[in-house]
Amino acid sequence: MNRRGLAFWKLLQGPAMVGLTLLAYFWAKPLNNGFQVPEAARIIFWHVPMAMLGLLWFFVAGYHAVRFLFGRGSGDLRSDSRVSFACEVGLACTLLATFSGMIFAQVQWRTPWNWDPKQVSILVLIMIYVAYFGLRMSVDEPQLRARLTSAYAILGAVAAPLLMYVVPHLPQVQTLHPTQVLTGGLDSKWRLIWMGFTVVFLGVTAWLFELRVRLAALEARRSEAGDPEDQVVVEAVRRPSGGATTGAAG
Amino acid sequence: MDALYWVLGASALVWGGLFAYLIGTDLRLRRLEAELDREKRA
Amino acid sequence: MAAVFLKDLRSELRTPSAISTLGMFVLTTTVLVSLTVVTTGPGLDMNALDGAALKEAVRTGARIYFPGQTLVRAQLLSAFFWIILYFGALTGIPRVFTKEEEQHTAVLLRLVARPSAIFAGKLIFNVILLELVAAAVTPIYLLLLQPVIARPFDFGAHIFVGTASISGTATLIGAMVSRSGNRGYLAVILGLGPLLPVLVAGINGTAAAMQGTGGNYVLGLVSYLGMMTALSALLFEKVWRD
Repeated sequence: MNRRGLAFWKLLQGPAMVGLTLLAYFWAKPLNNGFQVPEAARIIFWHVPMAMLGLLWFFVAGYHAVRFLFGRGSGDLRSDSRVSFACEVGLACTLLATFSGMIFAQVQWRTPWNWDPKQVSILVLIMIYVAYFGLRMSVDEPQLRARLTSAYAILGAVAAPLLMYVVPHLPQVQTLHPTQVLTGGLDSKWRLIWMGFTVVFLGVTAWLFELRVRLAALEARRSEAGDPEDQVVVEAVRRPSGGATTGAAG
Repeated sequence: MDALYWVLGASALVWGGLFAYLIGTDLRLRRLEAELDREKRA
Repeated sequence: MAAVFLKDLRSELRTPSAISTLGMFVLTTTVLVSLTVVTTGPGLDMNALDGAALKEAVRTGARIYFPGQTLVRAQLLSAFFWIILYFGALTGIPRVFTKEEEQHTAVLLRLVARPSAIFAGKLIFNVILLELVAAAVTPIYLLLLQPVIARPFDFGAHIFVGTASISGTATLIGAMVSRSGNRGYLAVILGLGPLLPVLVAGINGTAAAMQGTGGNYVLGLVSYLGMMTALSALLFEKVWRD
């Protein structure tokens, strides 16, 4: 992993993002079916992939949790830290999806919160993974912490898809979500750009995840070497230099 | 049209910042990893 | 398994900590809710006409409101019942495990009994505990909040199965919390995701039973109980062992 460095798929993301953004604003024409402000339909490009990737990363967390508890190398703390990194990335995605969705809801329905099933289920999802980090912070012993939180990550990954099905049955909840826009006949240009964004966002989040894994591996090797001066270097890398990755860097 | 330029400018800023951060961290990690490998060999 | 269950039972009879926590909490909250929440009035225990019938009544000066529980009241009262039970269960059931840790009997228990036997024993104890609390609080709830119940059997069935379902998941979460430095409040946060399906089915089920409308969630609750108990049994060993 160390030798790979900046791979091709990472370098491609910058130009891809520039190209897709330009396409989204100049090639895709605003949608008129059911949107108060046709330009606001462009939320599809950012918001929908974020929500999907949030769920995806929570499943990745569940996968690593199963590997930690039941897999061949069970008890390997590296799997446990992967669970927590995947949860961090997933939490960042779901938070971004929620906030972008609230802005859209303000434009579309004149209220940032309207008890839409998607809003409620993503809120519960966020609460599950905030609880995950709450549990993580309350145990000090690494092996025990890893076992408890992995068990909870599995519980969360099982509950998450059920929530999507269950939440619309709540009395308080009624849907306003323009689902038919995505499922039926989305303009082919729009579909193409949307898929492109999904792929690029997947790349960005995978990159974030990979960096976290490498940083953890590096820290483990440094502390193995046991040189206290090296710890300072790792701390310097650890400190985020930009504000662009709120939530993902923490 | 003005709003469009604002949006594009903001996108450029956010994504530029994020990619700069990602590339910077990646390169720094790579350097540290290489350093550690060299120490190990020595 | 039976030994674990009997030990818990004897310990609980000697110093009733779980049932007192649970019972007191549920009782206090029920009384508080019935004192403070308005559950009578137009739109709650008085049905209003609507549509063409409303227009006709306004034109002729006839009555618009008729006595009778509305769906809103049924949903409101059901929601209170399940929220009270949820908070009660997730503050009370962890006591069964934190007690072991406090009295330092957990170490001994780990040595003498298999994790699956402990889980089964604790599960049966918790289910019986929560069912007893539900059985005790339901009459008080009926007396104080006075819901009209069209299908009492359905109402009872939902409470019975839903309560078992809550205690199944709460057993695993209780074990988790007891190992995390006895932070009891964590259980309430941890339980929300895994137990929301139970709450939704329970609230809709009892509301439908009150109104006599369609909607039976007993089968769904039973299958969720089965699934979650199997998963909890699988994960319990990992949480429990040292």
